Amino acid sequence: MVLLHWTYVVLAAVIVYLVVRELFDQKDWRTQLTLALVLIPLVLRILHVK
Amino acid sequence: MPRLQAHTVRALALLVGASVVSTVAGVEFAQMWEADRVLPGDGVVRIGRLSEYHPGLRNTRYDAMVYYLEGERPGGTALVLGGTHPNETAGFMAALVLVERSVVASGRVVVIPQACNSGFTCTDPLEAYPQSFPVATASGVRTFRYGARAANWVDQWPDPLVFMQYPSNQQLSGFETRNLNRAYPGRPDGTLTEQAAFAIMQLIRREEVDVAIDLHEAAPEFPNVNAIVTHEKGRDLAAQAVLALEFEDLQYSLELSPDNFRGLSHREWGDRTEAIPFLMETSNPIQGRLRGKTSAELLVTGSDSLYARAVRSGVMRVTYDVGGEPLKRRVGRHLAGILALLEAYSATYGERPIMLANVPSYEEMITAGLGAFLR
Repeated sequence: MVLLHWTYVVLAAVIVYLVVRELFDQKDWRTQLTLALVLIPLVLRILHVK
Repeated sequence: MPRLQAHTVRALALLVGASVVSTVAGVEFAQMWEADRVLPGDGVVRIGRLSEYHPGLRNTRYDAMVYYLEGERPGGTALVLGGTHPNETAGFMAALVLVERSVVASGRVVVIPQACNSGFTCTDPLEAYPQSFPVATASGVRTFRYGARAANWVDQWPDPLVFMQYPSNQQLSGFETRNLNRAYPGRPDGTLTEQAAFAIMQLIRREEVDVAIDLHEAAPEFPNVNAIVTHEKGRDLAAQAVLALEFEDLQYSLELSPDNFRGLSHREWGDRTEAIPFLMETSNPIQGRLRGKTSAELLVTGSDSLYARAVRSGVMRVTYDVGGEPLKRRVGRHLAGILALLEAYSATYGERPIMLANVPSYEEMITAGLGAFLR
């Protein structure tokens, strides 16, 4: 279970990296806003806050 | 210096915005990590932690506080658990009244007010639950946390798709893996929830607990509300208690623990230890599906116009008083139930009496309010 937990954290970190990269690549502001919103829960999960 | 493109500037601004929102939300979530203030009364002779019974819980948020109350006269030992489900507030508050107010005349009473300590650090998602609620006491307004049904995902994460209960292999929804009241008897090398359950089983054995009471609440539409659930070896005692409570004009139904539903306190404590287990439920509108505005006020007053309408319509069966199901009533019922069960036990097992004093009666609780019995 501990291994699974940290696997999940690493996956979340990879997704955050991909989302941030996409945030800078995208030109449509609505897509950028959606990507920024997606980041919030992922960041909180990586930090073990929520 | 090259000029940044518009979408890059926008990305930077949105990244800053997301960071600000994350920080604000994070600070708010982290406020729930702060433990509730408990002010032990004169009856408490020792304060310990659950990790004394299983060191694996040390330095985790599952390491609940344990309060030991002991009388001058010898007798039996009772265990009272509140906060098995941290969103069932009356259980936690009734246990807290015992810790802050009661004294033991005969025997010992071990109290764990926040048995699923981890679950007090978050709320259930998508329910709009308040993070805390106020109680006015003589020392001022005290706030207590309103937790989630099960442990915090952050402490045990992720959930499996299907929870396989140990050792029965009974299959339940994945989120039940964090539910303390599905985890008994637990195991020392299992999930943290299973380890907490194991520690409670160890406590029951090591402290030679005779009577173990698990305090719960449920939605008004739940059929077992205002019930005492018992293992078959506690059936006679529960019947005595239900009759005694009837004389106080408090109605309880008597429910027998199903022997094929594993992992529950009233089943596993009874099957695997010498203790006689009981579980009590009260009606808590904030847990119900019919509820309207979800707030700390609803938690404390238990007053909801939609439940009142449901009762008046007569269409569905709900345990709800049109005047509300206030917290003081729910705590009063739990305390009256504990006293009735311990009196029945003491009358039956006269050589090991467990007698509590300074516990407010149901009428006193209704008249003076919960805060009058907290320090």
